[in-house]
Amino acid sequence: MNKKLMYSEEHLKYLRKEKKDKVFVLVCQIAILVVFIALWELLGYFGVINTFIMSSPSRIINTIAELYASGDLWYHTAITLYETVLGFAIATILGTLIAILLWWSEKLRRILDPYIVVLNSLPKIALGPIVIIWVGAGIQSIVTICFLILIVVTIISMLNAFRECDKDKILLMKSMGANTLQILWKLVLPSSIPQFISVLKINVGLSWVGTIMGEYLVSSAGLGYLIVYGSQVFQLDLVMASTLILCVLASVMYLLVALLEKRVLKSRH
Amino acid sequence: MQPYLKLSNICLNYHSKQGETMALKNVNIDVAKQEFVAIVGPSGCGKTTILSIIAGILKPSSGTITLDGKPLATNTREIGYMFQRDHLFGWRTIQKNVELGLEISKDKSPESKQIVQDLLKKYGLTDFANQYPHQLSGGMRQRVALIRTLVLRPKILLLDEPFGALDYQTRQTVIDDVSDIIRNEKITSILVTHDINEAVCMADKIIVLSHRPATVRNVVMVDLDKTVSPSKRKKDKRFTELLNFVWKELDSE
Ligand SMILES: Nc1ncnc2c1ncn2[C@@H]1O[C@H](COP(=O)(O)OP(=O)(O)OP(=O)(O)O)[C@@H](O)[C@H]1O
Ligand SMILES: [Mg+2]
Repeated sequence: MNKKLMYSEEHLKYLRKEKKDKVFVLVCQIAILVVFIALWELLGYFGVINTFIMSSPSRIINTIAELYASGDLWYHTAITLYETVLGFAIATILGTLIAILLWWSEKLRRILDPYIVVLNSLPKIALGPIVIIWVGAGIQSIVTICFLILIVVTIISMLNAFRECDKDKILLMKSMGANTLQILWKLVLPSSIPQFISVLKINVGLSWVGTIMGEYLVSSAGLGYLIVYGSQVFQLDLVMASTLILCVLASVMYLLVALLEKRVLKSRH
Repeated sequence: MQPYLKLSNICLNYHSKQGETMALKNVNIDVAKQEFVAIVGPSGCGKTTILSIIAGILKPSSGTITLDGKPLATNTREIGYMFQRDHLFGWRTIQKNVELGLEISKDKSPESKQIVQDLLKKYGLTDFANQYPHQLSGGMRQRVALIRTLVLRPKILLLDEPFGALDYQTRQTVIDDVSDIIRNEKITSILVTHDINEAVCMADKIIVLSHRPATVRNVVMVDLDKTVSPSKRKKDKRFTELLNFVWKELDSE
């Protein structure tokens, strides 16, 4: 049955306005991008800005095309992506496991509490040089830095989520004779899924920060390396091109998590 | 006759950093088989504490509890507990919610499965079995919560202000509903409530507690016609007499 037939004239008017507003917002968003790119290109073309320092959209595209042709595009992108995904996955999984452990043992949580607070306030990037010396320069140290940046926030957020679980629901499970594992598996974990997804979202953003910071410190490949290298040899086209690719990758990864969130939350209610 | 559930000289102290709170002091309660007992008392006097002890969630500081003459075992499915809020798990369907207790005790027997189906059917929830809790009304959710405990065939059912979260309109229907189910299933029940109305119209026996530390002040037998629904019992003039009597008992504190 056609839904429109059931709506009042007033509601249809409201719907039309909603739709109009939505289109307007989208048009504005696209317009800003188009105007920005066009202005940048034209100002460079007419020599108002120095394209050697500012680069320009066409030069960025050309650089990406060159990188693609030489095979460097995949090489560097793949390395950075690999480091990010690895750091993200290890930190998220291990952080959640540690949070479970701390939830399980109240004693352990109390013992470790001050250490977690200190580790949380420490700017992890300060550990960079130590990490490089300990695990060696290369992909492993970048993954480690990324991991360090993520792990503490993951532990704290997940532990908070677990501890927020409704006390009466836990009592209910206990009154049915549930053991701790059952309480964890059937109640605490499922009820923490929304928080877990928001942790994933935060971690996606942070893992890029971690990887690029790591690559700035120590690397011979990757997008962060290209950015540093580009700035050292004053090839701003390369810097801009790498930044653009980074932007796209980070957005795609974020969108994937957002998609997961939509699916999970829909299946819950 | 030996009472079915017997609490003898139960004392309970809570310990926290702020100090010691004496919640229960020599509480003695007898409950006969299939009896419906209501516990009323001033707020914060220790009603929930009594239920937690019977449910085996809290250990009394001293005193004994026996069920059918034997000391009460902890962590069993012999005691069903129903809370003020229904505490249905939003990520489980109604059917899965009802089966929670069976899952916990790893009971996969066909008889238990059959009990689930029977109870869902008997209490008009079969059509909602595959829906999620948020799709049901408050009264219906409370019914699901009750069935979730009944599935385990508990010997004793504990109800801690189970109607407190419902609005006035639904309240009376849910009270009739729950009362009907409990009488039907012949389950020994203990109801904790603030609402004396509720206690008088549902119970066989009302236990009036004192201020904290709680002791039993009085036990009032309710001689109303138990074959009719609670809302009908309210129309009896004896109901008002009992109501006033329990009021006075509470007030004389
Ligand atoms: N975990 C606890 N630690 C310390 N004191 C507690 C604890 N739980 C309850 N108490 C105290 O024990 C007393 C009895 O609590 P209880 O919850 O049994 O009362 P209640 O009669 O159920 O109250 P209400 O009418 O509010 O439901 C209260 O004074 C409460 O403050
Ligand atoms: Mg209470």
